[in-house]
Amino acid sequence: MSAVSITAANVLKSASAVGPFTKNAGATITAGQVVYLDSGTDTLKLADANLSVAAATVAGIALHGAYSGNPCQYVAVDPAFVVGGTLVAGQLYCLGATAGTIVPVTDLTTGDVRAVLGVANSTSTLNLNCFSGTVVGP
Amino acid sequence: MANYTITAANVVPSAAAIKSLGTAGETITPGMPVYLKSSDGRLWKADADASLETATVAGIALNVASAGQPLWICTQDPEFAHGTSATSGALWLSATAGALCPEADVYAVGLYPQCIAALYADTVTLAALNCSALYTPEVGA
Repeated sequence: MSAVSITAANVLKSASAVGPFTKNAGATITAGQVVYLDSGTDTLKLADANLSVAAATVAGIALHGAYSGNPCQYVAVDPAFVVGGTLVAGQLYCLGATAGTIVPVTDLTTGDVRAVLGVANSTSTLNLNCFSGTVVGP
Repeated sequence: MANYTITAANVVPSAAAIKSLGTAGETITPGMPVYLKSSDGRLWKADADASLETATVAGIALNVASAGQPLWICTQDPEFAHGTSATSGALWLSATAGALCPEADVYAVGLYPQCIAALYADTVTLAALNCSALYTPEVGA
């Protein structure tokens, strides 16, 4: 399997989403991309499962596009998050090894930090609840 | 004269900017002037000659948003990086939805002239932005 193909215009949080939260973007971000908070600059950047543990510590999923220097909203908890792409119901989704991507857990390999995003409720919504591993995965 | 071109990545508010959050009613990109539509409470591309409502600029869009997605706007900023092709003068709301133009383009019958920002003469990429100005839109004569 491969990364979920996201249509940015279709990314939407549900009414039950926690937050959302806002930080300035430190890179170009599009809706639906997974982001982390760069502690050195206090800005959001694209999360990446095999770049570093810090870059794989997921803050959430971006709700809209943002260029560097502009505010960006994101959510980390949402029981019915519309990811903007096609999911497999019941599948566990994680942060991918390509920056900003969402992948089924089966796509991860040695050296990738396991950063859990959530389990798909259907082909379109994710029970989003982000948490990340603190060490590189086996 | 023609509308200014906008380079979305160059639209950046300063630390002193006043920002507000709304919901996009249509696809909006950074740098576009937007208005608040009373019928749905969402932000749409402002337009100088559609109606008084569409010409009442709420702010300048700061992010890409599709309909239903969050949209940040800047309402006031003393040093706003406007991202347009303008190199002097001021930014005015255009009769083209979501566009900005020079002053020479705004005096026409049926158009509501509205000045959005004034460029700095020494640093032309920056402008003093004030979408809450007391200027009252009028129909051009």
